[in-house]
Amino acid sequence: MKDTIIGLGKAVCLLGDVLKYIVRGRVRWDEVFKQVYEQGVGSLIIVTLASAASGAVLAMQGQVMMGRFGAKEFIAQLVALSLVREMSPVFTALVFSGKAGAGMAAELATMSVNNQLQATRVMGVDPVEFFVVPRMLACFLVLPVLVVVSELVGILGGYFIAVTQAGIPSSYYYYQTVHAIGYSDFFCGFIKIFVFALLIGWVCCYKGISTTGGSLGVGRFTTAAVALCYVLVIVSNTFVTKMVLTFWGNG
Amino acid sequence: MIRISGLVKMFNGVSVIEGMDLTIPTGEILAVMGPSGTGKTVLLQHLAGLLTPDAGTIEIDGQDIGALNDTELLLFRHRIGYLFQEGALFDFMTVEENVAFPLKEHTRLNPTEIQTKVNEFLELVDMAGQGDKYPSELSGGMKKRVALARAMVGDAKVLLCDEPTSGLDPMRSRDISELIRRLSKKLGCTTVLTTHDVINALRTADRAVVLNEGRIVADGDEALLRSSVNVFVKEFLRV
Ligand SMILES: Nc1ncnc2c1ncn2[C@@H]1O[C@H](COP(=O)(O)OP(=O)(O)O)[C@@H](O)[C@H]1O
Ligand SMILES: [Mg+2]
Repeated sequence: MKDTIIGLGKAVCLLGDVLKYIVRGRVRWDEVFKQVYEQGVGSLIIVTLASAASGAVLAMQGQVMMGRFGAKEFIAQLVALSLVREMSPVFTALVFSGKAGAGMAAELATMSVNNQLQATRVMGVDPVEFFVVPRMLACFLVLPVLVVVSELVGILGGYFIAVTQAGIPSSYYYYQTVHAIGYSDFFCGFIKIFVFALLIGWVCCYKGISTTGGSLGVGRFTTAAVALCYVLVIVSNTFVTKMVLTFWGNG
Repeated sequence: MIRISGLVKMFNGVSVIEGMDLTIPTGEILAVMGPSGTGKTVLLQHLAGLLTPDAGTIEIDGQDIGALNDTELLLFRHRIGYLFQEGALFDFMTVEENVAFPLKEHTRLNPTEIQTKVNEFLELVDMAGQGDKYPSELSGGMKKRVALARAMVGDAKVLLCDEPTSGLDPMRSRDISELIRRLSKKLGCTTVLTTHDVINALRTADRAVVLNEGRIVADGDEALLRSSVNVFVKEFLRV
């Protein structure tokens, strides 16, 4: 318990340091772009596959459920709204935690147990500035893009099933989708991703740089980081959804 | 000059260093010897400002490093070169990029000047022409030599080496010991190295201290240590 509170305090200090460097403009953009590339490329394929599959599954289930009420032509709305408001942001964040988040945590953890972070410090460079700030910023740049990709691919997946299996005319599906998604729907979902970006970057970097205990420690801290990300993403999603619904209503 | 007075460090209520006083004149090479777990690494980390003492002060060239804040500490460390036990090279950078790192961070040298200086130091540690390799492609001894170049390339005035010979065969151990002595004298560093390797410690250093359970039990040159009547020192030097 005591350790948890101390850990929380240290994590808050880390976030404070990160903000300090960003506010002072001490950001290494070349490192940020390296990280964007690494995180983005690593997660893109999995996000694409997962999104296409979820879009397709939504359409399959939609065909059955909507069919029961004789409202098959609303499959497009079901797919588009579920993806944009809920599924894409959450799925993308989970995939991102497992891929890019785990990658960041493991990398920093290895550097921590090999004294590379200490070495950075003795060479007069703060590892927070050199390693953590670029990684956390990259999360904010990569995740929104991944979410948009996920939404587009997911809608395509749904489209494929609706057109080939449910016999919905292609142009009709397109028309329904475009008219289903309002700005508020898009932003309801999109706003969440910034909360997730903060949580994932913060947790994975903090766990990474505080790793001790050799290669065993690297495994332990990395798994802990990813597990914590999953929990935080899912739980915070509930709160953010409630908040968003309160502000934007459901119209 | 490094002046340590009354240094105390505890971890979880157990004291690792118990009131240490030690003065190291500028340009001297001091070996801190003792069995594993006696606080040698902890002592070096204090000298680099990586740990803060529970009591006592550390002065380097008249600067009390306990009085520095985080930003001042980062600046102060430009004067320090630290050779970690396993080298601690950045494994995502090549040898050359590793050695260039302190120069890129803290000097206004242009890329050609940096390249020249990097080559010069790689030559000094006998690693010329290997700049494009990654640390994972190097042997333990080579990693240490590159790490030594990285530690000294930024005109370090104080060189701290943690177990420079550990994990190396006897020949490589002798080579790195002689290299540290040669570079340290050439660049005029005040050097502190820790080791439990008596032969190589005496080969490298001008003076040695023996630590036991956080205290200095012997201090002097080889002849003085050999004539010590302390039971622990006799035992330690015999193995
Ligand atoms: N950061 C730390 N936290 C807790 N205990 C430590 C820490 N660093 C060192 N110690 C303890 O201090 C003692 C001395 O360690 P060290 O200086 O590494 O010994 P050595 O002489 O082998 O270099 C050991 O018992 C070690 O467990
Ligand atoms: Mg040690």
